[in-house]
Amino acid sequence: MTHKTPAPDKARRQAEERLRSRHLLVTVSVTALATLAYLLTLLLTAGRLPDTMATHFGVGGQPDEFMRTWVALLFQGAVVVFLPVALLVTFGFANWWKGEFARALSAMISGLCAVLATMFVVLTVAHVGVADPAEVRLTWQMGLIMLGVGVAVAMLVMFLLPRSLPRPEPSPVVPVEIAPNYRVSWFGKARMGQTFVITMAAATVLVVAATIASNIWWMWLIVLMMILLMAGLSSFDVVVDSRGVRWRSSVGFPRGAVRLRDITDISVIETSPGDFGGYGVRMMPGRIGIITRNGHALRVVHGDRELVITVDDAEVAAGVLEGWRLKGRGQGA
Amino acid sequence: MLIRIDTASAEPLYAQIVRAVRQGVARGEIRPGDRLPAARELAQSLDVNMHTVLRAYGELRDAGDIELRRGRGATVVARRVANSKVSKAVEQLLEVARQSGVSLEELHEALDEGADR
Repeated sequence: MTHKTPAPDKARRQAEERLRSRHLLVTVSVTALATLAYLLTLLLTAGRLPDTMATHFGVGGQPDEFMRTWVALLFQGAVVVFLPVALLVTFGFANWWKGEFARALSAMISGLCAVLATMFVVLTVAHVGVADPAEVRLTWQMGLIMLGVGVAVAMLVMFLLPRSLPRPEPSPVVPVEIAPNYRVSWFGKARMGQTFVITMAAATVLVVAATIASNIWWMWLIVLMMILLMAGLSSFDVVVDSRGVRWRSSVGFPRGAVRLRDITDISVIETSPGDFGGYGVRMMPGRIGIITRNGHALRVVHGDRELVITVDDAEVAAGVLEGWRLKGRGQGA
Repeated sequence: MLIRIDTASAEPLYAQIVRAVRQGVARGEIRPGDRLPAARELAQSLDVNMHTVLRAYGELRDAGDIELRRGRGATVVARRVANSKVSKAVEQLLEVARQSGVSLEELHEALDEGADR
């Protein structure tokens, strides 16, 4: 059953729109500036680079893998643009600017973009005038510059962006009537949207391509981890009944439960991956989020902890749980 | 999918489960391809005998509502309304609802109430 989301008031809509514009302006500007800096570096170093470039370095900073220069430059450019854009699109679909951690997420995306661009600029500049790329070294000073620029950009973004809006008031829960001779259970799902699945699949295909191209065996472990993550986090089964609420990934693990007698409050809230720093099973101090999309979610408070699940039909799930809670207290029908 | 059974009702428990599953499909709470809860899990949750749930699932399978496969459990099957008279009535009902500003959700509720009467 689909439930209509109550229309937020005009002032809140306008505030959300302003927030969205600021976040998009800052993150897109940083991505554009990073791309520009990289392109500028290519222009300034054109004709002064060797035929091959060092693209991978050992622990001591000595290069151990090389690539033809034009391929390396193209690959680096693609990474500088593709990774932040992929993150922006993924989080954009999830309205990350609405979440509690919106500033931190914007800072993370911008910082990552800055680190990548700085790394490739520094590496490219290090090859200028070098006859043999094996002479190029990755020094700790270079690492410090990359990290420094990344942290500085992330902090600047944190400073430029306003604080998140307070959470909207939870929707009232209408308890489902549970007569003494009734047995009532609710079975639902929290599933990732198509965008997330397509993005994850595209990322996995890219990593597989990179693994085959690089011929580094341990990269297959990353591929395996990505496939396991996709399988484990794309869909969750949720049960609400007289025992409380239980959730479980469709592959069986991870899983969790809150007993009915421990529940102190039940509500339906508006949430987004920005509230929990991303998708999937988000464990944070005092709270667990099973976050597969933005929008309505079931929120269960037990003591000083909370569980938030973006189930389909959060209103009905909350109603059944509240019905059982009232019945447990002797207030049921 | 909400499953509510009345242990004091004259209607057998398995029939109530069958009706609840069909209502869940009609309301769009479970979609074709979705898996129903495992029989053991549903039985524990509703505090009924597992054979009651298995009988309900058997009935749903025989009616072509679900598929039962070893290892995959019970899966909802996509069905089309084969009867052309019913298809036409559905179209007319949807048109009337659209013109009267009745939402799909309200229409589902009205149909459920009608079926319960």
